[in-house]
Amino acid sequence: MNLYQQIAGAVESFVKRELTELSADMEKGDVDAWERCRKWLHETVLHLAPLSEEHGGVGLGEQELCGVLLELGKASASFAVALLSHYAGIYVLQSLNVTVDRNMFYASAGLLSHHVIAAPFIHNAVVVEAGRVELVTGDQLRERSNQVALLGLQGCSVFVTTSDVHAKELGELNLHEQKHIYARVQNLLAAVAVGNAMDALRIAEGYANERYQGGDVIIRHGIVQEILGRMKAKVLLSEAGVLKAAAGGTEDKLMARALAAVLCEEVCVDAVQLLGGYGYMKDYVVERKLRDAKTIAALDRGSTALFKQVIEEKLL
Amino acid sequence: MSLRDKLLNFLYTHRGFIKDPCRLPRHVEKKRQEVRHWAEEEILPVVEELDRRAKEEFPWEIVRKGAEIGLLTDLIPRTFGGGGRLLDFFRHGTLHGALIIEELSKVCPGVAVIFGAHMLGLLPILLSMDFKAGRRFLSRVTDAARSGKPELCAFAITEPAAGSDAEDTHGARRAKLLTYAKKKDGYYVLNGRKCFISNGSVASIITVFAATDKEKGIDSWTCFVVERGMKGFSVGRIEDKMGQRASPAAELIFEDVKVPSANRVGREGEGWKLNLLTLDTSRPPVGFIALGAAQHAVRKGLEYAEKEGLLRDRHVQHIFADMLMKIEAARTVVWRACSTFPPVSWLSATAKCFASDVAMDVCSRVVDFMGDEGVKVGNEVEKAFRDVKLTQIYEGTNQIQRLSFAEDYPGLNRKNKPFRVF
Repeated sequence: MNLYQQIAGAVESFVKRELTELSADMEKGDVDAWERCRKWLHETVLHLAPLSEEHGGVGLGEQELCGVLLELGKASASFAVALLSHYAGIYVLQSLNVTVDRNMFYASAGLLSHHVIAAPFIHNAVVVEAGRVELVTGDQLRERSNQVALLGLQGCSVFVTTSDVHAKELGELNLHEQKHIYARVQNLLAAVAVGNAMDALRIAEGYANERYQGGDVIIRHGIVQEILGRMKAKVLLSEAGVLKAAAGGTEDKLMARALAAVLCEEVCVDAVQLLGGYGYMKDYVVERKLRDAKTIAALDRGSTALFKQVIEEKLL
Repeated sequence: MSLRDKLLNFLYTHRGFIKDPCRLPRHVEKKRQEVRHWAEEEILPVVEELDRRAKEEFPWEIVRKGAEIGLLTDLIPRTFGGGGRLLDFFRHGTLHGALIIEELSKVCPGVAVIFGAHMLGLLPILLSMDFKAGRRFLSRVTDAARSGKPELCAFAITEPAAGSDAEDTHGARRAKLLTYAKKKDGYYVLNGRKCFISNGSVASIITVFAATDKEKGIDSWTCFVVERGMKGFSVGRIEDKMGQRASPAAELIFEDVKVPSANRVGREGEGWKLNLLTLDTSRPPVGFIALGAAQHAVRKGLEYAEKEGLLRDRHVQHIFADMLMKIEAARTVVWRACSTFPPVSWLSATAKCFASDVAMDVCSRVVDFMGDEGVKVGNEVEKAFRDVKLTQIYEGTNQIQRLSFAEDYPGLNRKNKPFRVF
């Protein structure tokens, strides 16, 4: 068994064993639940997954990282995005040849979103703005910046940095590097969206197999079969696009991200629709899946702008 | 300049304003303005709090104020003390009331649903033409509204195991109904439960549909008025919803509730007919609820575009034009469906289904357009997105609307009517 298979096994088992159960508490901002996740990351060294082996990391490739985030995204998109924000910070630091502290949890702004989206246990945030990279401590963020809540990804700490926040300048990324990291992060974000949608599909299928209407389980109704079929196709297409783009160039990654986010949002909208009134209630997880999917789709500049950006940049 | 040139210039400059088929009578337009002003002045500032503290507190103050301007009683004919004219129903359908609901929905669909669900609760009584029930309950609603202690109504058909079945002709025959009313001497004994009932936890008058014969099921469905405080009636869980949180959705429990025969609306076994008539009447206004929220989202999106200096960008103009075209098209069909009386099933289904689908699409696109700003809690756009989703679900999911359409549309149903020719 190679390293990735071991990691994949560990992730799958954590998702099934703990994360699914913890996710509801994490959404409410339960510190203990987030702390459990932090410990698990330390145990598995997954917080250093994108860091190269020569720098003491695991050195997972992009496709493998997609697999990890997809799996985590099935149980908790909030946790997966917070981890991705940390990975984005590591990407930038690596690119600037700044030593990554193995015990620190980073977050980022300017790659995933304009805001700092972080796990509550964040230590430092790497803020990228027009190529300039600055490091802001978590305490500074908590004390001096505005904290906001988002439609989805609840439980994450979201900061809008202000000029009051003192930052340490780390250096500058050239345009090519910045674009490259941005595209990688966006594609990984799409992997979270796919995981989230896969779980919504699983729940919708389960419900359709149990719910009786019109004298039969609804999965036997033609319209429900069609909806589920479309959902499956969308998930399949998104997953394939994201994994293929992980090995592709910047353009592929951005297009895969934009399309996957749109399709995965549609899957979650359909999942809520299939569950009807139950799907709209907070007790049923699909409601959260929809909010998370919409938030992921709209992060940064949203999918509409991304589609345009890909072609626009090609013309420049 | 010749007369022809002058006329051409006049037509060119005034295009669109010579004859507007959607022009409203002056008193309706005045009422609409009044409600718009009230909603923006008094509801808008508390919308965020209503959304956040939904389960803790019901906005009675808003209901009281709404009652003062006739929002609880305008649908009720003057015979029973209300502000409505009976002929209005025949001439304009539910259009005037629905336009008021649209105004409220532009500010908060949750608040709009409080008043909308109240009207929905009144509809079976009105449509049944049961004068006795009308005199008893409609007069009670108008008296309460006038006294400053308004009473709300609710409409209860959905059951835990029969959601869509209670709204679909074919499904209904095989529905697993749980609410039964057993006839005794001078009263009925009601047992069962209903779920997701808007206003259920705060209403004083609830129109409940129950079967009187277990064998006959839906064919024996009968409408009853259950009054708050009746022994054996209680409110179960109040749902924690994704959106439209100002309006509580509750579970209603009936345990040997003695409902006097005088509380029966219409005749025994007329429930299914009354239910379908009620739903056909109430579905088009749901389209206005959805479109009200969508219009508000677009307005917010435009404010954002203006602030960011994006409005002159042709791409952005294209995005907004696309959204507004859809809203205009949906509004036309909803307008027509609301104006039709008696309601036409396929038209009502089209209005509700098309408008809510359009609204969902529009709200999603506005959030997407605003990016990071669009998903921030408190910006009204993310709330519109959450709120609008419910309009695709209640009053029959949009899948049920398609079935209703197929059932009723000439040439598509089993009645062998010729295909509708335009």
